[in-house]
Amino acid sequence: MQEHSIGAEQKTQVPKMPPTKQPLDAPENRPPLFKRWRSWYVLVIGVLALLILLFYLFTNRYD
Amino acid sequence: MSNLDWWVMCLTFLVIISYGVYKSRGQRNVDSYFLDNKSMPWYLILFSIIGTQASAVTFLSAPGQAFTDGMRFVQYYFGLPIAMIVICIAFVPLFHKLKVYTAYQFLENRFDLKTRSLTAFLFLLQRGMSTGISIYAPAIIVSSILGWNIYWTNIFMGGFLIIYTVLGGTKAVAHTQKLQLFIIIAGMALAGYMVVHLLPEGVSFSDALHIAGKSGKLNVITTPTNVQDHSFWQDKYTLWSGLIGGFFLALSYFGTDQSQVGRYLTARSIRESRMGLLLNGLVKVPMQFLILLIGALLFAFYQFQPAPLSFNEMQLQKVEDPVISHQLHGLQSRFDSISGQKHAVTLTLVGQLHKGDKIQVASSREKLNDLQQKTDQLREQAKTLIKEADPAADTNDTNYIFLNFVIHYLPRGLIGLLFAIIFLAAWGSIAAALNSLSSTTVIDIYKRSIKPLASEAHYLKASRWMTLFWGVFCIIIAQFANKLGSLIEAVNVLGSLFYGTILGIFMIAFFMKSVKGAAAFWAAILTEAIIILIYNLDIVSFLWLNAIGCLLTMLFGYVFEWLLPKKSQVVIDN
Repeated sequence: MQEHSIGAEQKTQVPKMPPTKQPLDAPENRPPLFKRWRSWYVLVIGVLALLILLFYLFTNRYD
Repeated sequence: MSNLDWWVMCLTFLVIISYGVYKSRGQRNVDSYFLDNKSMPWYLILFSIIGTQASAVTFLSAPGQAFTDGMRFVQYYFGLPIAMIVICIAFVPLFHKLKVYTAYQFLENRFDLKTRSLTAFLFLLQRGMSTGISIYAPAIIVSSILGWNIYWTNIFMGGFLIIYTVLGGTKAVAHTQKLQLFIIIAGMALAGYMVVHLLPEGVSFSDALHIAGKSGKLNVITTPTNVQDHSFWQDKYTLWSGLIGGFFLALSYFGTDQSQVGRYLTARSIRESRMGLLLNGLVKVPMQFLILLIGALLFAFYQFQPAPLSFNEMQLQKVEDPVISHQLHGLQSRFDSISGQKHAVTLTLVGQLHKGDKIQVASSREKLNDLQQKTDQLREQAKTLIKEADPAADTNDTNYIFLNFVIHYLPRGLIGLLFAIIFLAAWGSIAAALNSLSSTTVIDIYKRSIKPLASEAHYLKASRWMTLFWGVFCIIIAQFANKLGSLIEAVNVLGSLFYGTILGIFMIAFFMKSVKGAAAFWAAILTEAIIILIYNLDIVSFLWLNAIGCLLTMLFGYVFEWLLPKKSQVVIDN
């Protein structure tokens, strides 16, 4: 169910756009290498944490 | 520049632009002009995203930033990978599902026309001004090297770009950015190699790092802990402002700025968009670290080589007043004398580092820092004198530091390549920005509110005209950019003034279903006024403005929804 208000805001309604033919779980939208997108997200966070740690060691090493 | 440099530069331009024009042939409607018919693979999305963000400012100003302030600027990018994840989860599926041309189209579906128009307006305002700065950045190179008038150089630089963007559209932008990025990475790697290669015999890469580190230039991580301390909030680049403020800034920039949204909307599927964004999250921080490292290494390099009193040498030469000119010569003599002492102390420090003598190292470090303070004071005095001679002079030479090294120390041929890189980086970024300014104006304003029922051919023509209009607007802004100091900082300050509010509107749209258009609209207006007030009062560092703007918009949205009178609403079931 989608809500549309009638009155002043009715003038600003836009035609509903056609939905895409690609649902999120469609084969062409599955992630490469991993089974789930969550694994990619964990990888990105993990690399960031590792970089911060390495930068911290780098700062201390040359200070 | 030598003839060989001019040949290398012109040949690089010719190859890149011909390739872009060849790839962009056959555009017949706005779908192909703005979205390239949604056909891009993930690697083109990645190159396009990086190429759009990394402008000439990145390559000109970032090494200078590390030279003067150290490498802590890299922390500013720490929030970016987290923002990429949030965008992949919340923004990408929705934008693809609704098949929008611009991010702001979605806001009308969710709220109303006025909220869409306000957000589009805020975007156009800040992006138009930021793009003006991006035109100015490479223009100062040409004016500095060739002694051209900066105002005419802006017009020449921007004009050339306008023709290329008006004709090429999104496809030309994406394909040229791919080639540009390869050349940029190769050129910057060569420049980094040359800095180390030109160090005196017996001074290694590791020694250069120690010299930079002992002078406080390798301060990659800074972690103030006292929240009640004023400096905690005012320090521009810390781990916390980078993670929190940087997250909000990156979320706004990549999630709501059409110059970036327009890049991943061209992907052929949700997967391609997501992969482009996530890989950007993986490579951006290391890439920025390496660019800043060049600046830190340059600092070590200039401990052995005579540095100019001001890296903007043209500005020094322009001083005509004989009294001031004489005083500047006096300063230069003292500067050269101290530079000689620095050279000797630095060589001693390297010897002590090799021996592992910690006590002597500490003593040399102290001497080196004292001498550095003296040279910094002399440079400040020189700036005051230059300003005295010419009140309109640009005395901030941060943007000229890397450039000065390129001109004086790189071999022939490589100088031309480095110059080509700076131009290409600028054009890639500016072209994408002009493209997004045009798409937002045509789709969100012209097609929606002014002429809704025209033909595709008409909108394509209007898009080209709008690209031209914004190009001219940005050139006008570029004429005033010399008053802004470090350009990389100026671009980010400008973005931070508006991004928080824009992001807040999108956050309400995604996560606060009960808040309607009127409340979101007035919340954005009030927040924007408060953000500008906070900035003028200089209460917090600019990165925090992104977080404050976003959270205030959400808070006010909730309050206004509760306070504003409810109109009688009829619910229609679809």
